[in-house]
Amino acid sequence: MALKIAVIEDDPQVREVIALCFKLRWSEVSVVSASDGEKGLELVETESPDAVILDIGLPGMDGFEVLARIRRFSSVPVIILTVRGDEADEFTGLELGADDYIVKPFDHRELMARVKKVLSCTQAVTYQ
Amino acid sequence: MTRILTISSDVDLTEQLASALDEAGFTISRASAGLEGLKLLSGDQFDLIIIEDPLADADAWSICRQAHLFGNPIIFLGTQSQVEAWGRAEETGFDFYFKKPFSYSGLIVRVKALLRRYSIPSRAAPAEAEVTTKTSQALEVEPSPSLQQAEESVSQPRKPEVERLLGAVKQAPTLDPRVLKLLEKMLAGEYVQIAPAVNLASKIGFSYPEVSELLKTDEKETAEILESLAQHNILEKQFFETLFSCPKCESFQIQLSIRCPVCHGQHLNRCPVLEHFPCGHVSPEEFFATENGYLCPKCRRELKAVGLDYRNLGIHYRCQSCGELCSSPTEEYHCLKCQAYFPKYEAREVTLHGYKFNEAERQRTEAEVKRKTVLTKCLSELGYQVTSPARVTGKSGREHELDIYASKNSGVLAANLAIDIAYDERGVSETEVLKLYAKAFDIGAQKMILIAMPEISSDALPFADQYNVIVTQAKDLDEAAQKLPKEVTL
Repeated sequence: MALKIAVIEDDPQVREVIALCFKLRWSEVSVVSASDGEKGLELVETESPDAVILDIGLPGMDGFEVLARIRRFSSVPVIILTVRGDEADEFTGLELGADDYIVKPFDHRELMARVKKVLSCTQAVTYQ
Repeated sequence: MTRILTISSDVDLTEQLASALDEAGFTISRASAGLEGLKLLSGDQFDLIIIEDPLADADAWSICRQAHLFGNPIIFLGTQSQVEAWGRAEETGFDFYFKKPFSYSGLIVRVKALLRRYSIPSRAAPAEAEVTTKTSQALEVEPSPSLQQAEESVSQPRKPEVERLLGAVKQAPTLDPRVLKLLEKMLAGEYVQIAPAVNLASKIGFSYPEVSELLKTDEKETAEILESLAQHNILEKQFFETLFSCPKCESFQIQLSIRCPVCHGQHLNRCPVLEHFPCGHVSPEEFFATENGYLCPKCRRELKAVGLDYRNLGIHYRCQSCGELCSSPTEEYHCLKCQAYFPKYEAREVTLHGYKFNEAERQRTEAEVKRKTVLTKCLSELGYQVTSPARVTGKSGREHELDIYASKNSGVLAANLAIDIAYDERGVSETEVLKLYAKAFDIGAQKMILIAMPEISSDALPFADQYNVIVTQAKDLDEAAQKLPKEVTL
């Protein structure tokens, strides 16, 4: 069964790097992406990914807002991937319901390991 | 109360950790060495474990690997770089890594995030090793080469990644002896409809009390079992009700709170409101009321008849702070547990379902339930007294549940067997071996038989050898019943 990861990130290079990273290291994963928060929310709703990698500094609606909105309808694991390394931002992200918070620049192996870890306690079973 | 076990040989760090965690409202247990930590883990229940590297008596990574078998989330504190440490995450089973030095506030936030991750019902981790006294005793023994080998084999990736990640141990629900009991009752028509009972004080907001009582499970486990049976089409699921809970602390103890849309004041009173047509004045009815009838407080004219010169606008809310009248005050929820206020649309939604037996699958379910009796029959024919499922009290005083407990006294020789049935399509894991060993040791069983369906994993075999657990591999219980006599003959 293939896994699907949604990447919500405005920088096309970062999107490309993440997609490439999965392609090379974890080919069973398919990556779908969006360049801003609105599209990202739509993506999460329509694609029902197994996990979301979310940037904070997005044009328009920022990543925190996107995360808060995702949490209104989904408990999908969300990993924040951002340049914002302040502890306060990390606290905010985790308090809003993120499952992990990774500061850029990131190491590919570390990203993979942390995505796997988040997914390892996830099952696509709900009470609904 | 959330319980955290810290395993650290650094006295100062343990003190600081305990103080920070205690301040954050957690209950702490401390172990100053690795084996002591494992012993505590085997005898008690914890919600999270924090392991600090280095440990005085053992390799912290190895302790982490063994602690992971207990199924709790683990935070590892070490000195390696993030990249290096995360490279070992899969093999050792930690959930989050902190490179020392670290901030205690950061640690608390991570603890909370991890506990939340593990508590979301849809992300519930599979039931892992039942913790028993003997597991710790086994760990006290000097690790033999074969045990070390077994331990090392745990660290090897055993399955394709995707399968491993998604493949929570999927025990066929009808093989669980507790579930068998429920199904037997449903097949007999004793339970027709299983309806949830709203229980706002519980963690998940609802429960199925009758089923929990029967299965001896908590509300979360019960809900998971019923959901699993519905997924296997054994039960039919029906919508019952939607509950709302706090998005911050997930408590269901929330109440609707209203605010004035103008000044946001909370002191609002309901009142009937009248409109006087000639002057257009709108006010609460009480302002119009006099001893002789209604009088407009604005134009001082008497109100004659409803529909003629005034009308009733219905119930409105009047703000006692600013006097504003409104028909729709701002509504939000107030969490009585964490005191947070949040708009209605931010409330977490939990859909409750009722369950009923799926009559269309009756034949298949009956067949599955009856299959287990094949085994007990086979043992009875060999002269054993069989209890299935069995609850046996061990030397430790703890009660253990076995799929089958069989005993026989032939006059000269006596034998008692502890038998568990485990099902995992990817190969039954070492956890099942350890669980059976621990239970059997405690109850003094002479033989331990693990019926592994369809087979035992290669990682688990060294464990079975080490602990003298007899493994019967079978594709189904009929095959197991054919193989069993060879193993149980006195």
